[in-house]
Amino acid sequence: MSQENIREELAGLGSTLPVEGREEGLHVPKGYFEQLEDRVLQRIAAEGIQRAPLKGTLRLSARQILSWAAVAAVLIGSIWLIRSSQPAASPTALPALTAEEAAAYLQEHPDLIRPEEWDAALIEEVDAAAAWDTSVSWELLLRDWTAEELEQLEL
Amino acid sequence: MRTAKTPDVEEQILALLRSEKTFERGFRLLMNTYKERLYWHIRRLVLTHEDADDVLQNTFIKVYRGIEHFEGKSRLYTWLYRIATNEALSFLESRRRHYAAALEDGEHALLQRLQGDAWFDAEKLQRRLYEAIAHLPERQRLVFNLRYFEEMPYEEISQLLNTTVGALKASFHHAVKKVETYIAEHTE
Repeated sequence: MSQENIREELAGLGSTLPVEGREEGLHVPKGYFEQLEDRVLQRIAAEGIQRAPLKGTLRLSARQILSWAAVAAVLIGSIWLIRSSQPAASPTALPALTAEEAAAYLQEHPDLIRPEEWDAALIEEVDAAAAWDTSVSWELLLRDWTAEELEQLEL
Repeated sequence: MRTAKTPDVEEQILALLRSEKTFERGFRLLMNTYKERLYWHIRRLVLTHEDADDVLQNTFIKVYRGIEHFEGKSRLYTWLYRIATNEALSFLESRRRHYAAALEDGEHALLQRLQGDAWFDAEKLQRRLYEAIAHLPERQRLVFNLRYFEEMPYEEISQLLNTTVGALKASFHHAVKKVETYIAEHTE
């Protein structure tokens, strides 16, 4: 907008406000503007004012790059090891059995399990029961004991 | 006629600010390019040199802290004007609260500060003009200054203040009438 326009606008309003010399009266100390940049930067330094990094100017040192590369290598290696240790799914795998079905099958075929495996299974059963109900575990432990054996325990 | 700095200068400033190596040079160029325009914009709102200096420094520090938030959706100088305007209005608001707490008349206190400013030395008509401006409500003073002193087109003021051109014209016309009335009443 030119000065003529503001003149025209004021004239259109019937205003007598001056256009020439309107800025007179306000002054600044000598050298104020010349020193301003230095004073602002000195204040920024003195007050420890921080600014966020500029967009698109992320810079990493060589040490940071090496560190990130090492972390990435460990992660990739770990994923590869985990995947390679998992058994591959067989296309001929049997359909999954329920626990009841497996137990019934083993009861029908006791010859499939060696005696030491029965002992281990019993201990596991006792431990599993003990984890949530101690009275059950005592019943399991004691149910086959003779009266004499119980007396020897001095319970 | 006052013109906005050319986009070439803005581009040069922004290019320097984008690199860590040239950031300080860019920030210095930004201050050097806009310091006088922003100073006078602020000075006509807060009226005294001391207050204008405080507000201008705070404006540049805000810019320093927040330059990464400038997204280029508006011109750089429009963004700077917004920050400077907000800083000046916040400053005046804090002053007003201070005067209210001290049970003083804010307008009268502002006029007293203007009259006591060592860097205010006007002839009679200009003195009355600035006194009249000191009596305007802050938003109206802002519109009056941008139009009367800076001759900013209404469209630019509209972008700066998020106000319609029609409302700005009405505000400016009211301000002109108030200023003229004050001058007429205070001239022997």
